Amino acid sequence: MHRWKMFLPYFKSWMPHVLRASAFGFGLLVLVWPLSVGGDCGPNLHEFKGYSFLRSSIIKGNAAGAPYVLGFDVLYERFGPQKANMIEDNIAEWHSRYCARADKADIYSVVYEWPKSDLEEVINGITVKGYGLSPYLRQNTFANYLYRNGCSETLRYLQYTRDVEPHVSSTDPWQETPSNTAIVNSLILRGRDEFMLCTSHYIRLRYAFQIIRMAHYTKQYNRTVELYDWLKPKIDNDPSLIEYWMLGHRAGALQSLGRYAEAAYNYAQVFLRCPSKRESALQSFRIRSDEEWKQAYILCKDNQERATLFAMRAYLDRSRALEEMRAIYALDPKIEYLDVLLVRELRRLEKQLLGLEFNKNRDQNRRYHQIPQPKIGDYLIELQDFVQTINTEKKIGNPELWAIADGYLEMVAGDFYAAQKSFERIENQIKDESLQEQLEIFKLAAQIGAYQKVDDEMEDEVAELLLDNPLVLRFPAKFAPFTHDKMGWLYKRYNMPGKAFLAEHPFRDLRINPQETELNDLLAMLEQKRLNRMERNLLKQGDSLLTPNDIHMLKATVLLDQYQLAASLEEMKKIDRNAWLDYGAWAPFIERFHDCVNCPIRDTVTFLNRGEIIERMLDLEYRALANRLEGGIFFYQMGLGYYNMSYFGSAWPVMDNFRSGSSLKRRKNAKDPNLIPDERFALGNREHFDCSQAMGYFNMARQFTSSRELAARATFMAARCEQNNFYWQGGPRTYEYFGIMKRDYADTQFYQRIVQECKYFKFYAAR
Amino acid sequence: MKRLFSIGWFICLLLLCACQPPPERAFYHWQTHLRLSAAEQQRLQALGVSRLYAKFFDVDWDEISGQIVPLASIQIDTTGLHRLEIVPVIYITNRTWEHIESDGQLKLLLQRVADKITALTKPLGDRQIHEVQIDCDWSETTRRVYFAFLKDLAQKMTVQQISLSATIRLHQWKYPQRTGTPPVARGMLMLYNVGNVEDWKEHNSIFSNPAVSAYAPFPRYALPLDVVMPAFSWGVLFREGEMIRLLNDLRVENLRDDARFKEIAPQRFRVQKSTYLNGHYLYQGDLLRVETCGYPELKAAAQFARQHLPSTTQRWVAFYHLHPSLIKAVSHAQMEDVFAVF
Repeated sequence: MHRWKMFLPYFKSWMPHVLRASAFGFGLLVLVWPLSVGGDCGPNLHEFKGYSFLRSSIIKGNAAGAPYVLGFDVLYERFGPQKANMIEDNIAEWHSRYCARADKADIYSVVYEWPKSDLEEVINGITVKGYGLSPYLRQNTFANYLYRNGCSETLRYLQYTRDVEPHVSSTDPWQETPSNTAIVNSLILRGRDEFMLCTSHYIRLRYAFQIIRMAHYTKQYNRTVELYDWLKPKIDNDPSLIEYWMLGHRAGALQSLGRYAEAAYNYAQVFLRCPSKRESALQSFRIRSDEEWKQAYILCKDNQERATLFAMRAYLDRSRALEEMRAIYALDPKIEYLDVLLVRELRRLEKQLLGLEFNKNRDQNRRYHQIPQPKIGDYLIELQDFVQTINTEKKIGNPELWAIADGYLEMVAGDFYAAQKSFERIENQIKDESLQEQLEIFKLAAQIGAYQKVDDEMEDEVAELLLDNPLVLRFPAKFAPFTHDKMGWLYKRYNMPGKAFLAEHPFRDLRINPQETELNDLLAMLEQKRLNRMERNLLKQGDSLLTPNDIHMLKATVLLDQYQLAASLEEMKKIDRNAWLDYGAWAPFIERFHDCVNCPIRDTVTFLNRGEIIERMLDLEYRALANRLEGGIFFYQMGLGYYNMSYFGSAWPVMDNFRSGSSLKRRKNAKDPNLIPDERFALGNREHFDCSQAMGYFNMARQFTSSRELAARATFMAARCEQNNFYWQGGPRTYEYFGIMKRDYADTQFYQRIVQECKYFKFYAAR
Repeated sequence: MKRLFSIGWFICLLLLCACQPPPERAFYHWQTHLRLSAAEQQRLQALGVSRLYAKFFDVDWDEISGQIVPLASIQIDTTGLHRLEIVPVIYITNRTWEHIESDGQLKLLLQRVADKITALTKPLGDRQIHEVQIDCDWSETTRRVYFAFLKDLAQKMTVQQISLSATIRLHQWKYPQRTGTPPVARGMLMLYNVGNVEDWKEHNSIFSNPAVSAYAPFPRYALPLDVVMPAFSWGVLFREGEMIRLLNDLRVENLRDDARFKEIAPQRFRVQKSTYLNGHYLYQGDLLRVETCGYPELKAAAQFARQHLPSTTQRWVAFYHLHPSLIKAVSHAQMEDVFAVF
């Protein structure tokens, strides 16, 4: 049994409008589908499709390394890039250092925007008796504070930064760093002098940062380290993030000098203590050998620093973090990095393995993303062992997270039943609110994953989950694909292919390439006396509900596509005749000598629904066979019908439900030349390219008529079929019917007309 | 007599046709610091290498800043470059073109690339640049923008009497109708990366005779083709069954340490103990496949190129790429032998 498809919405409008409406509808569909266009162009359609129930909120946002769980892209979206964080942190520090007496926006203006002249005016206000401060500058709360407290050192420092800035910040990555070492060196000397004169150690720290930064940016690496080591002991400051900005430059200079171990240690310090520089510290962190690692490790002063080295190595792309987690645990089980690394590994493993058994996209994930990695299962087992050990030893800082992780790893391993049991066991131990919510999500996912058999009770339960469960309604992107895929997989196991299809795909996809097994299964379901809630849910297709008529109509379309007119009519008769028109009406018997799929059809033409078309075809066939001598006109009309209902005719929706203008040019399925692989539809797009049936009837029309004009018309139509079959199937080009036209019908009026109208034939005729 | 004379002429003509001038010799330099060691200088001089294709910088799309940026700019130390002609090579990632949305953006990129080349050639002083090369593995979707870029850049360079060349991959040589021919003066055929590096069972994805022979025969190509042959090695790192990284310039000798690596098959190793190697941390259980293109592969590549490249009056034959370990791995005599194939 062949397959067929059905796509048109159910029209109940006037017949002449139906065709136009359908054409518009398809046009619109194509227009609104720009992001899903498949094939050789357009965006990547093979994105990874898996499941994730892990929420990033289970890790505190400020935990060291949390970005590596959340992902930098998420962080940028939430907090902005590192540079924005640095500015924010810097302003916050100025704000706190000046006793929160100024607005942050005013601090930003003075620190980053005010020109030297404005700063000079405030200095004059402080140092020149009777100078005062202009009302305009006085409006700025920070400038006002500096003025009232006589902070001329701060203002001189800010003036200095205005001179420094052009030499240290280039926003254009295409710009080569200008060779300005002489100017920079004079600025370094000036900064050093002002540093020495400064009484405020906080301002000294900032001078030191500017000086070291300039030395580093001008690639004076030895000098950078020397300046750092010379300036730093002369500053007796309270803890400040500027210290770590300075240290970052020292690390960069050390690395450029080939002192990788020291550089790595400095970067680890920055990573540990300066959130706004974590990203760049990690990106720059580099150790080349075991020896360098040992040296860096020796430099660490405490376990926190040692753990940071391990964590930074583990945060690098494609690491196998279990080794580092073991090392950190041995150093100090309460170090926060362990939680971050655990969540990172959970996230990685859920992507690789969760629901692998029933993920309908698993083949695509394997093919385009190499997911899962072939040996990832071994790693999962190792991680499970480690988590269980930790839970047994009870030394960890956040035991609730690790207890939940144990259950989730069972889920990832595919043992949903064991996971459910684990979650039940620990439920009362979880006090943290975000972990409680996470546990509820895991429990529900485990419940869905654990379903093993299909019956009305279970289906009702699943339908209720999908429609009413607050977690499902809150996180539909997490639960809907997981549940549908699981149900699809179960339905297949229980030999319910129609329900399986509807669980995973819209009915539209089945219309576009109908499958007999699925259709029969759906029909059987629809004919049941009572439908369970899940079944009713599956039958909902957008705003409408799938009915037995839809299935019968689709089956009739399939049979018509296979030229089984009588069988198709039998299927149509299972639908109330009054409802036939609901599925559209067309005019397949019009005569056109040029291909125009979307050309308007005159209102005077009679439009017929699918059932009427079949009846007309059967009638034509009967009359043709009954009147052999003059049956040509009936054969001709049958030929027109089949031609117009093919891919090349305006009544294509009679035998098809989706037509793509590019189908003829696109790669076709090797086994089934009418099937076009199309990423948008689960089963691809089936077209009706074959014009052989129409050609056969045109041929008969030519043979069974005494009218030379009709014979000429039939021969020309057969030539078009011959040509279309060549476009479809390729192979050697033949001109059998053009040859007959030229040889036998050159004296007909139709011949003269067609030579004028059809340039292609005119060219052939002139040869 | 007349007949004998004619036959003699005919034979002479045949011999002349069969005889090609020897190719010009070149090397690629693919590191950010161009500073030739004494051994490298000596080798280049002894081989009569007259040209160095030096990677000046990469161009890529930066997701974070949302702009096209230059990366890994070269730092040139002219010591030892002597009379070597330098050809700046710019590697442009294919995804760069996906982010060009207007002619204005294309012109801006063009100007920036040209300016950057000029800025980076400053250390070379008065040395004239005769050719600039663009390296990009373009695809059907990016071809239009890439070719437009090449066309405009070629025009710009012509004013400075600089010709433009582009790298050509094997599949582009094989299917010019599908991939198009870049609008440049010359093509540099890259005779390597022919296998599936991600497949653990692959023997040598850099070069193997069967893999490269599968491309033959080749149609007539619209550009005069130079050729670059693989003279490098790398390690292909597999973790949990998946290829995750390439370790550049790795050779089997680097893995002769039983405490850390166990040879499980020829050219294949298992990491016995987690360790750093060439700046990468390898975990216990990781697998490594070492792929090397030494003298035998170079010779085979040269013979393949000799057999399939059309005759020409001038051709550059280059080795990719100049590296201290290459000097040790392939002797002067072997390199001479490879060049002599042409």
